[in-house]
Formats: sequence, C-alpha cells, structure tokens
Amino acid sequence: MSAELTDVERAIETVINQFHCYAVKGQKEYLTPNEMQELVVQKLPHLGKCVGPLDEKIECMGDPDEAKLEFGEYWDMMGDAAKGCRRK
Amino acid sequence: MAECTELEWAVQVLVNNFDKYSSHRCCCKKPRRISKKDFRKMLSCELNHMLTDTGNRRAADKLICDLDENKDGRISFEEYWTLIGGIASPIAQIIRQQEQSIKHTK
Repeated sequence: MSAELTDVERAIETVINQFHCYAVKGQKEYLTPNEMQELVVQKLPHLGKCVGPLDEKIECMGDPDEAKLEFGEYWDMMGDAAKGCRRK
Repeated sequence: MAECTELEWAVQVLVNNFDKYSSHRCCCKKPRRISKKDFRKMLSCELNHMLTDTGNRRAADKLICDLDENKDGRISFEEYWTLIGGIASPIAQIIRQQEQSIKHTK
C-alpha cells in the first residue's frame, strides 16, 4: 500500500503488523501466551494495564502449549486498551 | 501520552477517529455514538484506500447491513471497534496468505 494512506489506515496496518511480528510460532495466525505477554509488555507500556491482568488472561487461554490467541481475540484486547485511552 | 509506542499511537488514532465522527446527540450525558450516515462518511473518508479492493468493499457493505439489522441506528464505541476489527481481520489474512504464497514460489 502506498504512502497516501490515511492515519486511520496506517493505524490499522500497524495493529496488524504488530500482531504478525509477534505471531512467530503460529506463522502469523495466532499468538502463544508467551508471545502475547511479550507484545503487551513491550508494545503497550502505557496501556497494558487497561488490558487487565495478563496472568488471568493466560490462564483463561488454557493449556500453555496449545493455547492460541487469534487475530480477533487480539483485536478485542486492543479494544480494551482503547477504552483505557478514552478514560484518560 | 509521553513517548508512546507505535502500537499505542495506532490505538489512539482509532480512538480519536471515533471521537471525530461521533456525537452526544441531544443529551451530553449519553455516551457518544456514530450515526450510520456518519459511519459511511467515515469509511469513505478514512478508509478509502483499504476498501478499494472489491472483497474488502463487500465486507464493509456486509458490516453496514449487519448494523441495519440491529435497528439501533447508532454505533457505540464497542460496535465501532468490532466493525473496524471486521475490516482489519480479512486484511490481516490477505497479508499472511500473500507472504505464504511468496514463500512457496521461491
């Protein structure tokens, strides 16, 4: 895509790219609990707390060897971060 | 936000975009919402490059159709976020498939 993208489009692209960057094991299809944790810690230093306690989230995902966070779930998580933004 | 990351910037842009198109309507105590008309305007003004692809455009039309079913007529922040996710998700898939097919042809 070209440089003429709007800010909103660039933002969406960024959210997608970050997911792809961290979804190494799942070949860009899903994040493992570890990858998710890395992403939140490294990329959401200010908004991470809005996402809620990570330990609980990881536990909810079930068996750590098989747990997968797909794009839709990741998007929902960013939604929680976004709601945190709005409260500021 | 001081020294925010690229991802945090992105989230903030999407939040600001909602605020740009949403209004309180008559009562300022009610949460902000986007009307269907303004949502269409937003799609054509802010997502005109991403939705040029026919597949994506069809996905967007379907999103608006689904909104019609809801009858509420106005889009809350949660609905907005889900809708943008509905646009982002197929794009993410296309990018992934494209990269995989490049790998296969190599």
